[in-house]
Amino acid sequence: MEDAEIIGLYNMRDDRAISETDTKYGRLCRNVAGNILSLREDAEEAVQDAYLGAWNAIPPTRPRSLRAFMARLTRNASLKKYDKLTAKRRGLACTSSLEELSECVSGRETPETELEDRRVEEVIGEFVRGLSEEKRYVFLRRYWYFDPIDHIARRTGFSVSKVTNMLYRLRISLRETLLKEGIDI
Amino acid sequence: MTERQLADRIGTIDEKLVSSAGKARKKRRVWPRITAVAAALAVIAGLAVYLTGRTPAVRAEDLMAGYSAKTSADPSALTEDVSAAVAELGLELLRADLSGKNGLVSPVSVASALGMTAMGARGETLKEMSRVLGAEPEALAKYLRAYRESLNGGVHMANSVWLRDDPELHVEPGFLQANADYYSAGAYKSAFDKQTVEDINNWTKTHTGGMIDKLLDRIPDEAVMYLVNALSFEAEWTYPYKTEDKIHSAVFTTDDGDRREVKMMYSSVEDYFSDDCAQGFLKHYKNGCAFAAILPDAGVSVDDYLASLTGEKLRGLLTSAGWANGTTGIPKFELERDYELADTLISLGMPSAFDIAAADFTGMGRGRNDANLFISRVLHKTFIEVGERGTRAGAVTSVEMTNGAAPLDPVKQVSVYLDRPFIFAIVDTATLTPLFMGVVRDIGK
Repeated sequence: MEDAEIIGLYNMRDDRAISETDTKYGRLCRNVAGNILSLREDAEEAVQDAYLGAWNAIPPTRPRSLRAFMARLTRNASLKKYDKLTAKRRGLACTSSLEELSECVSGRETPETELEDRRVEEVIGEFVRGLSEEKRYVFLRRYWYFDPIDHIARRTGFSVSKVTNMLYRLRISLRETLLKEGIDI
Repeated sequence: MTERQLADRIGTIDEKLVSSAGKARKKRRVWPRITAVAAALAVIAGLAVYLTGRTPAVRAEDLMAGYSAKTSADPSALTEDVSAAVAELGLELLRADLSGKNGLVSPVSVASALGMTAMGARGETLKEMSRVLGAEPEALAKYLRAYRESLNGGVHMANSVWLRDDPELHVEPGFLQANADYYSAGAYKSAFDKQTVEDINNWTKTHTGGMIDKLLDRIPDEAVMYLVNALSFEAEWTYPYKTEDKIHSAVFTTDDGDRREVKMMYSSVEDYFSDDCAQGFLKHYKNGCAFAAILPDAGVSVDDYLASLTGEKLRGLLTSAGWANGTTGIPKFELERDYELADTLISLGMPSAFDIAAADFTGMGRGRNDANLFISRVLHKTFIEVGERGTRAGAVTSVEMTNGAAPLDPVKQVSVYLDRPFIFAIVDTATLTPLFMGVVRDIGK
């Protein structure tokens, strides 16, 4: 079914919207959740939370890309679950990605204000947009989708070590960009 | 900012970008950087000045003035088969060295010099050379050309052909054309006197970044041609051993049980691999290459392990490298070797090329009085220095004519200290092309 038709089902409050979303994007959502949460049942809960999120958001939201929208909802739901599980010290899949990201920041919690948040988001957006196609792909697969490095290597045809090296340089570059733009990291 | 806050903010990236990364991507082995040969030559000349601080003093006539490349580099030529064949050649050369000394060869450099020579081989000579090189000359030439064009910073490679200025020496224009096309080789005609010795040595010094300053002492009267490759490698570790607490005195124990004091550089494991009787790791350089170390298990001699290693197996080991927790130790070391490879290459299966009567280099030319051309010597000199900031290495080879990723293992706790004989290689991590390979049997005081 086309995205527009699925969105139409949401707008009409037809609960087939969920099953059609699941048919079309369930695999993507489960991959994203699985990259963040180790246990299948945790990941499944996050996916169901994402579907509920979509049901609540549409309408009034009308996603430009239902694929990206569902991936984002799943990512957010999974990270929320991740925070809860971290407190309980349960096995988590995305720990290594997050540890890598810790190289870009101080680790000190900074107050979140709407203005500052938007500024950081803009800088990160510009940084990603400015990357070459290959680098952008590798960056997003690792830090947006939280893919394991060997999966990225298989997807790109690069060696594991090449991907590792690229990510290392990207993190340094991101940190430098944040600092240059005066972001309090 | 915490990593979670950063992750949340990355999560707000424009959905168009996210969506594009969500789709399957066409695999590419390397990022090609294809330029015209003319441009590549200009870059090499520029580097020569950069490396030495002065223009190389080559006074010979440049024969390539009239030639230009007729082909462009083809990234699809960077096949796993040729990469494994080049590694296999390096392993064969290491195995053939029975001196008991530390070994250091540059498979890429030897393959380049022999590859240039093979462009002029015909008949049985060509068949034998193809067998030893593990690839047809054209496939090897295409691979090396594409590889040269994809080189990252810190790796420089140059080729040249030196011809005796003798009206009776006939060189096939197609041979020079092929070497210009695939090897970007400069060609120089000169008297083959003391000045030429100085010129060739200067060229070598320039293109190895000063690491190898002398290739020849003299030129024999019968020599009419030299086909020379020079390679230099200079790269910093991605994670250098910055502080003194990472470097400690340690004991290196030789296979004979002799104990030597070395400076051991310790760091966390970056990429770990193992097989039934050895373990090893990759330590990465900033330029996309890596130092690959293989430490045979206690009780397995480095020579026995080397005897069992093939180019394909090495490739498999390196591509299986994955994450592990633990520590590695690399001793600081410096090696220099000097080989004459003729006997080794004959024993590997290319005797005709060295046989005055059997050699068929008619694709290259003919000598004085219509004499047959054959290879009299293959000189190979290498140097490496591994330290806390990174690695410097150089190689030169001259032919004298009278010329995937496998799935990651679960995270393991490992420690690999190179405190007994080990095998190492410097490889390009995108293509796994082995730039250098060596065996350390005895180092330290």
